[in-house]
Amino acid sequence: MATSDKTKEIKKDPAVHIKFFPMDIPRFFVGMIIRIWYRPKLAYISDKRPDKHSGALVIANHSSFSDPIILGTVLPRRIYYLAGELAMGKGLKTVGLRGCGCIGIDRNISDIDGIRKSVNVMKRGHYLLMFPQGSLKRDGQIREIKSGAVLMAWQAGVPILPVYVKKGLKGFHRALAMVGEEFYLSDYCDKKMPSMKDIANLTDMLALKMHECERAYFDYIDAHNMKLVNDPRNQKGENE
Amino acid sequence: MSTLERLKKLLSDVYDGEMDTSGITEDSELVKDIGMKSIAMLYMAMAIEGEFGVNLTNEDLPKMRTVGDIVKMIDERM
Repeated sequence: MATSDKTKEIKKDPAVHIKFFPMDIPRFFVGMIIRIWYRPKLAYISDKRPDKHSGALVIANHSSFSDPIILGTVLPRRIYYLAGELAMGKGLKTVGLRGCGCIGIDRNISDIDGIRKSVNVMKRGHYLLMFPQGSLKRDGQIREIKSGAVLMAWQAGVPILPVYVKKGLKGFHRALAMVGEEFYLSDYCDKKMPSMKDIANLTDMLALKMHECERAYFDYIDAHNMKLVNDPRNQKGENE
Repeated sequence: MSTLERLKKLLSDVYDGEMDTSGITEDSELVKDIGMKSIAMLYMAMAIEGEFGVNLTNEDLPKMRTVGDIVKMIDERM
């Protein structure tokens, strides 16, 4: 049975939805606030839509602390988040974050336990959101991408869904998320086990896919006469 | 094939045959002699799990200083 068929079967089971009830409550209420505040819009780079039943690694740029909440609201699936050290340790905050689907991963060590948890979430048919640049880049520009995304997607055998998200469109700082076409790493590397060189090449490919989404985002806002309050394209010109 | 030989084959695959594994012994240090960086260590750990069917944890990785440490760890768990 294919993974997506298995996922379909699992999703028919009401127990699965009961299990996610604590995660869905904040998602619903925070989602309502986000929908009113940012009026987020979802646009697709092409007519090809992501598989509704397969797990996937969602990779996005990270220009604002609200990005995970906006994407969690606007993408039509329950999302788990790779939350770095924020969702590690003990305490009410950690419990709350984990309840909302955050997975803690220690970026200072080779956190194989965190990677295993993340891979299992995707194998079970869920979306996992990560910001492969590793940290916040306020201008929204895509710079160095880390190889961890490739390792996780390869291990899980799920497709990668690139997204470019940015809020701050004129008119109440509306947010727009541009979703690229999902793709499998195996389409670009047919080895059973990629070498470190293959991983570096696949990481460069992720950056290209994210740049495609970035270009599509700006093409979309230009085509729809939307303006960004702080347009990074203008800032780029000023810097040069 | 011994665990060391299988590990050397795995290292060769990870580095796409670019690494001369003939000089690797159990005393070879992963960082100093082989030149492994953190991402390579992580990938190697994942590859070991797949190849040998053993489970590695965050506590195991810092203990993996030499090739011999990995061989010992694998042999104990297989």
